[in-house]
Amino acid sequence: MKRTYDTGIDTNQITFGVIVGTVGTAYTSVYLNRSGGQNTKIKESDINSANIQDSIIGDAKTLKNAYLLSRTTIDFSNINPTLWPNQVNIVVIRYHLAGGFSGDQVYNQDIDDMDVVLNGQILVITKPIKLL
Amino acid sequence: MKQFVILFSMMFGFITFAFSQTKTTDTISLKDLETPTSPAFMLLDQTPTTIEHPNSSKAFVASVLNTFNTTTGLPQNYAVDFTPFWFVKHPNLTSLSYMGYNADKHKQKIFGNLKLASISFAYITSTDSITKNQINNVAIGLRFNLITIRSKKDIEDLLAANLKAVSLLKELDGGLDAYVDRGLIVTDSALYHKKVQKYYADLASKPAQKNDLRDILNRKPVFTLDGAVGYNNFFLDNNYSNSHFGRFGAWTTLNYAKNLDSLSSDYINFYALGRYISDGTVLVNNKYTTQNYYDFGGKLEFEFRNLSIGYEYIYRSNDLTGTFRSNGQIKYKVSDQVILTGAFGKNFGTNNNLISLLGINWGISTGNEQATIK
Repeated sequence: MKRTYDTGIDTNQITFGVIVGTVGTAYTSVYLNRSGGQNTKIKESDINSANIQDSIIGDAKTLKNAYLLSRTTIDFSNINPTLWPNQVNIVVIRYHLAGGFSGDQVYNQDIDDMDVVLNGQILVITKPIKLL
Repeated sequence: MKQFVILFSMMFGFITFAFSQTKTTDTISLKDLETPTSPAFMLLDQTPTTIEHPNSSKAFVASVLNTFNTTTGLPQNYAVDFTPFWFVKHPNLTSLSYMGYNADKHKQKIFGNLKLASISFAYITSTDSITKNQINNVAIGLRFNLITIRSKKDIEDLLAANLKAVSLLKELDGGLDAYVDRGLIVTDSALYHKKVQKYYADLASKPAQKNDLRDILNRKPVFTLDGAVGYNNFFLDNNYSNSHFGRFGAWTTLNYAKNLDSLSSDYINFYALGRYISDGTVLVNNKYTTQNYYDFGGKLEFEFRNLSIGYEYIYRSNDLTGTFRSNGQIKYKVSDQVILTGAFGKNFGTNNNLISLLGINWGISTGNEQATIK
């Protein structure tokens, strides 16, 4: 489900972060999609978790009308396959935006953001956030 | 040679099985002192016919509702064993943390498996064979792993496997970006998700890279400390006021395993066992009385590829006296399904206390091999 965030006046510094709560091995990448279709990778997680620490992604002037496209891929190979089907119900992803007119906002993943593939071994969560 | 061993085992196993069937009251379980998987069921005289193992809150509710639907009113028999960890969300959990490693402090979390504690519950209705009274048994138990310490090599392997798994995910994510523009989710969300499904469906037909994390997690840790507690109450004549304390049990098992050769699966294992049972089901002069039992002991075991040799000593005391069990055990795994078991030594008590067994265990090694006392 698409979410929106009002960045406010041009000089506002916008921060963004992702927290992923899961037992599976996970990776997150975040792209900025500008009008015209240009995609730029702005953040990615490290080997310790799929989290992305809160940090400045730009000012409101440059971010306005762009989309943040965050995709998290989770692999549940490290747990018993009988537990795979329920993971989609207990995984937690929180997207945090701050610094704009909308203030501090936390968005969770929605059902229609998720793709369960390979019989539940892999879960792909793609979240689009429109920056106004 | 293997066929001969199997044939011999079948013949001897049949004899042992037939003998033990005629003397069921004189049998003990080699594993009955170790921490049970489901302590609630261990306290009951009857084994539940069906045990539910729900691994989600929805499955748990469904299993309870099904029990109500299939009976005329309240369920008469219900047994469930579940791990609450899998029912709830964990907003700050990472895979490394789940696997027992603290990435911030760069060290393993020795209490990390405590979160996987399981709860067992049973409600069983039966009829006393002597008094013909209806007995309703309620039992609840908790089983947990308090401490797990893995070897330095296992931790290094775990981190290496995690790195490999994350790199693979990064590769998959990049491959998906090459396959479908992720901006498509903004303009045509349905088509984007269709393409994601197609990308992974195509991958399924190609040889996959092996994820080693589960294999490493299944390796035997250097040190574990497991515990369990269980409590049982029973009601007579279907009457709530006619309630009696049944049994209480507490178990603990400590296991130290040293790999004899880092390239093989040969181990020397040391187990320390402790158990306390309070039994309130004994009828004396038509009154239920409580008896207490304490068991302490240890076991040393050499585990080679298919062969294990061990010695066990357990001291038991109750409210009146003390006794001990001392025996040697040998197991030989002919295949994953066939295990030869032998034991010789002294059992608890002063009469009929010879442990003498040579038998065969079919199927997966459950540890419930029966030793006949002569």
